[in-house]
Amino acid sequence: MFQNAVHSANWIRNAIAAAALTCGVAHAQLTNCKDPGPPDVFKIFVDEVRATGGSTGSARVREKVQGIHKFLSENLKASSGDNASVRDCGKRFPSDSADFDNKEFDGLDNLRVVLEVWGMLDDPVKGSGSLGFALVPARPIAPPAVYVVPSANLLNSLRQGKQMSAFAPLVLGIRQYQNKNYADAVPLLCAGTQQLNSVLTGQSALGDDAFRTRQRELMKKVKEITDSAIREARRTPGSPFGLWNPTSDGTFLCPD
Amino acid sequence: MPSPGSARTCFLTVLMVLLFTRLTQAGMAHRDCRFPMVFEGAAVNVVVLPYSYAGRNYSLSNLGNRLSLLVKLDVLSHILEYGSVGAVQMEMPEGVPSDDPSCLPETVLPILLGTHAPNMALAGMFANTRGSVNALRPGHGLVLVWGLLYEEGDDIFAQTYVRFLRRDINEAIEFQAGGSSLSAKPSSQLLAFIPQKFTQSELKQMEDSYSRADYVRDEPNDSARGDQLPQLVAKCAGYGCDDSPVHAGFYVQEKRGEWIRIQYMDPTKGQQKEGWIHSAGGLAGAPLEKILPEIKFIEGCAGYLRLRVADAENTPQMPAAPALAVNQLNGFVRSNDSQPDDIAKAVALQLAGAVEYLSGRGQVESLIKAADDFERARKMIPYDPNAITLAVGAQVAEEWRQKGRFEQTALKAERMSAASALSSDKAALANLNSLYRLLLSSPEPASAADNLTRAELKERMEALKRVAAPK
Repeated sequence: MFQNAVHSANWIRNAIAAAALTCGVAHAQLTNCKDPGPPDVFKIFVDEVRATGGSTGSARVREKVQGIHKFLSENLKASSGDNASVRDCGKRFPSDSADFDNKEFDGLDNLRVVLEVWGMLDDPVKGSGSLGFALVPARPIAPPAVYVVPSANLLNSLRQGKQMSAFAPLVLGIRQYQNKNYADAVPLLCAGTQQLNSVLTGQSALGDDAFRTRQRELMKKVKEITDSAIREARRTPGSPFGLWNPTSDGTFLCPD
Repeated sequence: MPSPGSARTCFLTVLMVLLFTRLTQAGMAHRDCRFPMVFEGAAVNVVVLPYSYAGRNYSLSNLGNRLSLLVKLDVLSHILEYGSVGAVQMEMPEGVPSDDPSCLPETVLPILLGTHAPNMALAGMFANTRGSVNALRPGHGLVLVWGLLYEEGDDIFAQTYVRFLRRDINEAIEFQAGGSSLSAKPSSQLLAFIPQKFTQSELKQMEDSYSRADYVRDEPNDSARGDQLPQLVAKCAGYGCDDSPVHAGFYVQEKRGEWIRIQYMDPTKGQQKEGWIHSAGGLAGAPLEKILPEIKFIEGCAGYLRLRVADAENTPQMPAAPALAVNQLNGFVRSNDSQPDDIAKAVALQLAGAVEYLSGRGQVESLIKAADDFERARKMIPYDPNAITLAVGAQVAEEWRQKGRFEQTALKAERMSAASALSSDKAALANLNSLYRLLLSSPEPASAADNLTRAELKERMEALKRVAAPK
């Protein structure tokens, strides 16, 4: 009987392990980037843009998603400049935001990936879909740092919105801050803050209310980081940040 | 009886006209990307690469070439007044694999800058390139244009990218006041413009415009007899096929409305030929810039570079050129009102301000306009150290010229301190030092409010010394 109990307990343990393994396999849908780039530079991963629904196989839809992918890549190249290398990750595509767990973030962090972007075209006729962003260095300050932005018209949002331009300097700035490169972090944080503010305000404000609320929380954290980065940069003897004066309440703010 | 003054003015005008008609105003159409060329004699070249399309839709890939030809011809016809300009449209011949990188800006630019040699094995097939070379002359300007096309429903969107530069020269603008100088460059020389929509009817109009623009005609009339501009398609897919005189370049003799009269050499007959191209036909009578406002930016940018080359080479500039460049750049800014914080708009204002400042030769009116343009740009991108320095530098130059002293010195010092921290460029510290020295040597401001005292200035200078020479 005791043996039976042990056997039974082992069976349950094995079943749990198998179930965990199965979950692990499910999460392993996130394949490796086909072209992760050189190890020593910051990188932005551009995953596949996929069409969901029944029309995924048509040539016209394929061309459309290729167009969105190219648009994403080219605009990220323009907004990141020499600060990061934009990589085409081929078929890599998260099946769910939860694919970006701690292990995945650690892996991206080790590869010096600062931003990962993907897209889903739900209705090719209407153009509705969503864009996903994993802001890798932002996870410790605003977890989970994965944002999926729904849009009634994906390309329209891409055209009007400058979120990609905003995210690139923002994540690079946070990463520089985490690496204690405070002087390098501040210009990027200031550029990202200004650009993200313009994304979140005005008539063409991006995303839904939930997205904007989370973005404002992120902005609050980024402001704190910027203040901290300037203070830290001022500690270095001879730093030009020593010439930068705080506002009347004692905080350091980006120029406006 | 005319006065001696007016006779002198008349003589100078005739001299200028004769001088400038001898300068290069040239174009190339359907140039093969695999062997890029620019006009050696042109102070500024505008090179338009095809708008690329990610899919395999042949008609859209073809549209990319057509749009680039229309953009190039339209720009050329609006920058002729600058004199010494060239415009080149490049494309890939049919039959070359779609993933061939020859038409990518990262492939073409190093060749045009002379940092990467072209494939000389192809040189033989591109003979008879009169006045054209692979690389820009040092100091000469380039506006490189490329773009993307993508579909959305029945509409097509075109996104344009522009990079502008002078070979081996940095674009710093120097402001002089009281023996001191502050310098900064435009905030970016690579710009991505907002994608613009072409409806189906506009696409049809584009086809019609292309059909009209792709001919060299005997008269400036769409129904006049004409020869089609030689196509790269099929004919030039292989080697030894570039026998077209027009691929070697044409020279613009005259502009009449939407038409330009061109001259080119037919090497097979040894004849000099002439004809008319409908270069600025727009779409169904509407200017192309109504749909692609960035064309105005490209034109104004060419004007800005032309002025800088003329200044650097100490050669004369057409008197009306600065006003034209400012007008084109402001035209782009006005058309882009829906994007208040757009960096392209800020850079357009900076280039307009630079033209006002450099061509104004210290005149108060020009200084005021320049300072206003630079300040508007700073408000759009307040985090950018170059935008800050251009705005403060222009204000300082203007105030010095007008009043011989400065106002709001505390604000100026704060902004320049931030710029020196935000910039990784050592010149930013030199700018701040120049500002402090200038403020210290100038008369006290009219009121104490918003201004630094002498003691505060000295304290800041001491702090700056510690930064400039860290222990």
